Amino acid sequence: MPNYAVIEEDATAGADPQELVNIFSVGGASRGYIYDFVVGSGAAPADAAANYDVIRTTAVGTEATGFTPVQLDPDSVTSTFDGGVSHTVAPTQTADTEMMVFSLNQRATFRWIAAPKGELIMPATTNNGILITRRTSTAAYVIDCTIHFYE
Amino acid sequence: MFRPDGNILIDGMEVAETRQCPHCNGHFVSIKGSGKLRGYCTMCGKVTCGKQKCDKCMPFERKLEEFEKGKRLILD
Repeated sequence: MPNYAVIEEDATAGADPQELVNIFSVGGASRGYIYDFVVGSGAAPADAAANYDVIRTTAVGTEATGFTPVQLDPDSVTSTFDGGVSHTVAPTQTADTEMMVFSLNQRATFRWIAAPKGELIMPATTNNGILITRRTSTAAYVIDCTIHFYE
Repeated sequence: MFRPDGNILIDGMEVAETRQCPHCNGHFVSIKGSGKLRGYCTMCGKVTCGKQKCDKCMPFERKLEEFEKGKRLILD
């Protein structure tokens, strides 16, 4: 079970919704299991409230840049998934498939860790995956997001 | 005995445990007295998220297999 990381650093949050990281299957070869993610901001501390969604996606959006998942063990094989960041067109999201929603103050850093067998599962289906997105916010500020998964 | 399916940390401190719905794979924080209605699946032996679509027993693993085989259009 090789482990991978996908990150979005200093995402410039403009108008909401602000897509952060989308992980999706490239060829439908295997399932992906998200077991850890972190969301925080490196902006100057200020009070701003934001709502985030972790939601399923069925089609890839348009990315300004992609992000190839980094192997946590450099000796492992490359991932069959791909990471999408800096979207100009949002990935297609499946309505009512939010897998987790949370609200966060800009000053705080949020981390979620799955217990064994509690991972968020991505299907072995081409272009399907999971997206972390900022749904609404009271202010625009830069966001960092890291997702760890295995397959 | 309740076994958490996940943990939430704010600024490095654990603040909540999450449960995972056996029917949609989603996680939620169960807060006693919150007024939110959850379900319980006697087949899966787990608390469900409370969404109406998750009231009926349909294990997520089966949904996943059907979706991957193209027999299911939406993975919800």
